[in-house]
Amino acid sequence: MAFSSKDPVHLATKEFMGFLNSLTQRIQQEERNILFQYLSNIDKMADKFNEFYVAYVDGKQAETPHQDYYSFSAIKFQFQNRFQEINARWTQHLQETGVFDTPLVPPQTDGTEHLNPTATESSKPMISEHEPTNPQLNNSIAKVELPFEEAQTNYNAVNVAATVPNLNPNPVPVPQKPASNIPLDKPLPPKSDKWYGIPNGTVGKDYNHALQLSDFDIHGAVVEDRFESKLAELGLTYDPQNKTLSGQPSQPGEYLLTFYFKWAGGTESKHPSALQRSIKWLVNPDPRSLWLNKPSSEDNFAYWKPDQASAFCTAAPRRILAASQRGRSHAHEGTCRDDDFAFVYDETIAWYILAVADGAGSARYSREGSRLATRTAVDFIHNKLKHPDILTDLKEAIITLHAQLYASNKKHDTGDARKKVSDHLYNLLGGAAFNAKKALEKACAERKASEYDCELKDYATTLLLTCATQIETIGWFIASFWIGDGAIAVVSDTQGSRLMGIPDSGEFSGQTRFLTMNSVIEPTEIFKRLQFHYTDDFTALILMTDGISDPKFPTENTLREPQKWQLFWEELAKEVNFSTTANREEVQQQLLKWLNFWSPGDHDDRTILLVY
Amino acid sequence: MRRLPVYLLLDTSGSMKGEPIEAVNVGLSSLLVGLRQDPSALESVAISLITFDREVQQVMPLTDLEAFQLPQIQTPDSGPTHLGQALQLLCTKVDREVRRNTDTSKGDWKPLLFIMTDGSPSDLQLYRECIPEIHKRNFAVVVACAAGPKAKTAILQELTPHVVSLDTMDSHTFKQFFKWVSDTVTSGNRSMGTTVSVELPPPPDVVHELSPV
Repeated sequence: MAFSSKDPVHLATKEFMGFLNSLTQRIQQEERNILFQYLSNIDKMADKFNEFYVAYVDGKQAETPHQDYYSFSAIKFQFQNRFQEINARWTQHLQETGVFDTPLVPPQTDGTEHLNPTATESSKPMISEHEPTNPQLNNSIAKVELPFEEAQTNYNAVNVAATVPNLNPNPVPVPQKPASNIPLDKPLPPKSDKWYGIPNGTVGKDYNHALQLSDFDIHGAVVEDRFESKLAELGLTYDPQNKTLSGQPSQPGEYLLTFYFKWAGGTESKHPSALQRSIKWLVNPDPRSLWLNKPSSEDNFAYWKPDQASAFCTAAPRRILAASQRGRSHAHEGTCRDDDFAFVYDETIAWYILAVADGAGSARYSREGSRLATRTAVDFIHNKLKHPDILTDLKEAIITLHAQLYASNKKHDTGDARKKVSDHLYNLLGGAAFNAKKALEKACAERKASEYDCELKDYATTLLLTCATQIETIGWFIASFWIGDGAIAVVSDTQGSRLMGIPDSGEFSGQTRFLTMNSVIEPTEIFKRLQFHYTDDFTALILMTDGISDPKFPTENTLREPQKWQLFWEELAKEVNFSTTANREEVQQQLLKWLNFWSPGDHDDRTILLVY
Repeated sequence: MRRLPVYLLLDTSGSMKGEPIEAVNVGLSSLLVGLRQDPSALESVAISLITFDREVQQVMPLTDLEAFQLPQIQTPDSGPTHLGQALQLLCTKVDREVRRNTDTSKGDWKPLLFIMTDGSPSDLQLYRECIPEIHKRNFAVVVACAAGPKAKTAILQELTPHVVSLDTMDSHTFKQFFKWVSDTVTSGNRSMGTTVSVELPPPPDVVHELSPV
């Protein structure tokens, strides 16, 4: 490609070359301060260059990058490497000759200085008079090798009057007489791992760190140690007594803070910049502030459903309250809630039929999977129990087993009675799950028929079912069927709380089972997932998805601890008015609000169904 | 709290010396910047850096993103590419650092592995022996990046179906590659707990995805 001399990329390269020229001179003059100054400008140049490059490429739609771009990058990197080497050698030299108490450190900067790269400016800051040039160091400085095709000479830093590399078609003469003033307050130290670090902070999180001054190459007692005033703006204070930084970081970002000190005993350093250190500090943003809340749009999603839902039933002897809230992960992306719930209480049959489900995050139609599974399962159980013979048979079986289990003389072999109840539950709850799966298969088939591509696993969902009834003579009978994560529990302060099943989990977090998996709807598997329980009474019957069980019950063991469920209920009762005088709208709002609780790392959809 | 462990294996053999490794440093820096802007990454991602040339070194143990301080990756003047040894070290580190689900504590999400190399393994036999060991560690995704013209993609395809290649090794390309790594990590983070494997987001222009063998 041919480029005119007015080509912005070319111009920027030329500018940088001139700049590089003066920089190489400075190296041999061993003025590190100036080097830092210049290097900060290299970065600015690099940014400028990148701008040119991007604008240029975008404008010209170049197929291959401009050759200068590579050379520029290469030169910049080479330079930063060289600088580090020189820095190390210089430091060593100073320590060996004992010229200074401590190694030189880069002076602080406010980053606003822009240095004119052309070397003809005579007001250019130079070495101070009392810093000797060290011929030894000159010789040990490595050559600056330029990968540039046009590089004419390899620069050999032997003496001040050495040949200036022909990087610039118009080479400028090297200034001979150094001036005496050095601006020490401007340059920004280079990006290198030789900066001193302290642990990262996070906005809004308490920060407390005791400095080890030796880590900052400060060996010896110091006085008047302090940080620059910017520290306070960032939310921290420094206590010189115990050398501790503490406070609460207020702004995110990467900062360079100057730490000033003086030697105890009053030894003066010849170089003021020796009495400070540059401390790099990174502050993470507060994750809470980064979460977005984008409503999901009905137009964008098949099977769309509202981002939240709630329901309240006061017609039954025990109240039923449910709420389902889209999690922060989905809110951040503007995607749908994948959880759902369904319930019914039919006074003609006096059974509570409850379901919650959590659609698999990766399954694209799992929001429909959870919706369909819960409704299908509840309807199936409801319809079955409306058959008088099933209803009566089941009730009898429940009563019989209860009598045998709690008989005063435990001579009965409960095997048969148990089997009768189990078989009923197998047909009822197992059947519900089976039919729920069939409903998903049907939905999938219908979607395929409408020319969409889909598979059953696109509707993957967990499914937690419970049905409960109160029989006068015996108390409560509660049965559950559980596929996936989440939890079903009976909370009782008098009888002891109880987990109504075995959660599915694997070796790694997040492995669970779904209704759509083949292995799950098989006789042995179904029996494993069925549980039932007799109790005189309970405080609350609770179903929840893992959006709640994960944060509130951190481990599987905690799920099994009755005490933890008691505490959970008490915590919930503080936020939600469970009394009989509660206003129906208010109580749903309270529960939805509670579902927004903050728990780092737990941003899943949350659904809870309570009978209390 | 559940972490998402991310392991980065970086080639520091002789051929990476100079601009390539500098470009990698720039890329890593932008990877971190990208991840720090994602709220769920900030909470759950933990990163470890392992370099390999003649020596294999874990230059950064598995550290939470919040606390992570990026070291400057260096290369020796020359060195072979001991990728096999790197995989070996990786396995011991994963066993030690990644937490499993127990009754008393929630385990980490399945870890992610990204390998970047510009050549082929000098210790090919060890590399091949380590492949089943890597599979045993159950990574959610293993991405191998063949950077530059000398990288041998076929050998990487023995380890993982997800092999990508980069034409050049300059900072623009590496920046794009590491941005893609960042996107993979954040989308993988979001889908954790819901998938068996991580789906890779579409790669940028400079990152060429190879079709599985």
